[in-house]
Amino acid sequence: MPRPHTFDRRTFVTRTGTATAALALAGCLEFGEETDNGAELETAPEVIEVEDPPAAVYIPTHREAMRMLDPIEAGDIAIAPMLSYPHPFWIVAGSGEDAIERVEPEDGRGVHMMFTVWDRETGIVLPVDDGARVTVERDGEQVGSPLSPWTMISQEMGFHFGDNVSLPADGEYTVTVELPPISTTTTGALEDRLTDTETATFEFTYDEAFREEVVGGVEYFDESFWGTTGALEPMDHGDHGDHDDHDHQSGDDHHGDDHHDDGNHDGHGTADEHHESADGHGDHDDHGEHDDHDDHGEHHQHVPYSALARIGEYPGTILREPAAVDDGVPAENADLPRSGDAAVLVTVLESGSRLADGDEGYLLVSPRTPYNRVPLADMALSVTIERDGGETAELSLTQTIDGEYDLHYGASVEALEAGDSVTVTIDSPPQVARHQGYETAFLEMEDLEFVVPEVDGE
Amino acid sequence: MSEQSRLPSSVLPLVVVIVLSCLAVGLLATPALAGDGATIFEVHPDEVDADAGETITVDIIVNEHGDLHANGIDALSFDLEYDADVLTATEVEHGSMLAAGDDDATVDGMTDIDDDAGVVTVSQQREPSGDGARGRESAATVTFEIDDDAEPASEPLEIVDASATLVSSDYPQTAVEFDGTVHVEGGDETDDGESGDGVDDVPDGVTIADDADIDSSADDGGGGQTESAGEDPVPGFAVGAAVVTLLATLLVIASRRFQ
Repeated sequence: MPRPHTFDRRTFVTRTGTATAALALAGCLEFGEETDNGAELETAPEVIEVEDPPAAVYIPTHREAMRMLDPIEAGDIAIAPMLSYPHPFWIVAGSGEDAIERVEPEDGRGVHMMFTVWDRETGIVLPVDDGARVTVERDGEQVGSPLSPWTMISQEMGFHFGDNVSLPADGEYTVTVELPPISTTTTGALEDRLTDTETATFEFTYDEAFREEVVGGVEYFDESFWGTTGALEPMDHGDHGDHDDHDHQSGDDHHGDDHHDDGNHDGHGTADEHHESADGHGDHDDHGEHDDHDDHGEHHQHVPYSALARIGEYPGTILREPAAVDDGVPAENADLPRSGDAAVLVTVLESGSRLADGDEGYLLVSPRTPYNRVPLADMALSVTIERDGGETAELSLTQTIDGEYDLHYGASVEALEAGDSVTVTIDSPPQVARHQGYETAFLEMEDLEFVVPEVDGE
Repeated sequence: MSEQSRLPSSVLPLVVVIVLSCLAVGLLATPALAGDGATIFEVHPDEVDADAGETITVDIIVNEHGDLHANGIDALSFDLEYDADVLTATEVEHGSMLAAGDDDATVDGMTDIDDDAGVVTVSQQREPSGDGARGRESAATVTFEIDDDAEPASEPLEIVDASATLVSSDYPQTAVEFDGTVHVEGGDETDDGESGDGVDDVPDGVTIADDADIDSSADDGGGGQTESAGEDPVPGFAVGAAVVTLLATLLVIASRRFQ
């Protein structure tokens, strides 16, 4: 039986009083004004949802639950399928507030099918859309048309592919996922790899037990948190007590030891919290090596979370906002300059960087979600560089996936000097679908101006 | 006689605004399919003052918006737990919620009172299921007698194991429960079993922004909207209201021109 949720009633009483009054003024209360025992209805909420959420990353009403299936290896990549109940999500096409569209499930029979794809060698989640194709079969018969799943970001899941899939009935289903070669520019350990089409197959059972599991695992939060700026931590963090495994506003610098937990936590799946370890960025301090995901081969469930590196793990000169040019490097991801609530890290790698052409430097721009450091893919970015008030360069940045610095936008640049101004223009926001809590952020994204700071030795 | 003239001119603008406001409410409330949808169960009134020896009744209100296709629920169940040392459940009556929307629908089901354990059990089916029930009505009325020798106390009435099923979905609805309290002879009315400051501790697995403003007073009716000043609300969410307001204004103007 699904786990019900009991709320702090006082919060609702207060708020609902206001809401009811508003409706009463409109003269359209849709229920009987009195109950069977004559008391007025005035204390229940209208609907469990965040009204007027901020144009920022926010805490949704609840934490979803899902069933994790065993990851599948196919060539250079691995795929972790995940299943939940059909639910709304938001797709993006273009820029601005009109670019977002809510997609509702077509019916109540089926699943929300998701899968995370990562490079087995580096552990980097592949946050790009390259035309994945999903085919569902039951008893050898194809179910519906093949799907082209959306690239999505969610607070709990990070970057993944997903869509709602209608199913005709309970039963055993076979899913074939076809992933064409990665067309995004790859560098470092990913260069000249991921060039083959990979196909993976998995099976799942759709039945009452599954439905009760994924609905019963839903966790609603107290209403006082709904719509609050902040985010759910990556999946499986919540039950560990300490939350060291991602960026906190408290200033913890690194990563506890709770990222290799394979337990099933209240119906939230059995995924590891590997968002630091598996992408090779996070837990160097804990494990002393870059790619530690192979250290945990004894676990059956090993699913990386698409978190980018922390600020201090990027090389080069971290650029600052003009007002903070004399301050130190931001300590936390959330302290980075924001555009549309995306945290944006900009660093200039010195000439000779493997990422740069010839003797030029390399400008690396890394937009990410402000709390969980999820890369924001499929953006169009350009930069304007000025020196002494005059423009010296205007560049389009290339979306790149690097084996060390993961997804970013970059370009080779002439050597920059202290005091140079670098304006990052977001020509189009991330064209990725969003789960609740991200759908109002990263839409209207203003330019960000950075300044090259003085660096010791210059 | 024109249609406009049937209504007093002073009433027409108000009617227009009311009708369109009702439409706006409908447009802005976006029910979801099962899973993300929730059925709300609440004890009503949530607080009852009573004396020893008195008889009280409470309703269990069920609120279900239904799915996107206007399908509702056709089954629900719940337990209501109480302190059997202080309260005695004497009667349980089915309410009309599950028959909502269809004059021919009936509520079939069972009730049980286990006064030793302090549990009232209610299980109901809508017959016929049809499109299911949507709305916010009483699903059951429970009568309690308070013990003649009851000491001043605040006794919880807790809904547990609530469930509901949409006619259109394989998935059970998520149940959200709102409990009640009976304050016997001036029992501490601040003692409702909840934490004292009105704001729970931050849930595990949640990061709150440094500048977040958790609204413990929650007096804006806004469902937890806590964004700092200056940030726009969600693009598009207010579109329905804006469109309706504009239409209402235009219709009011038009009605005046026809007077």
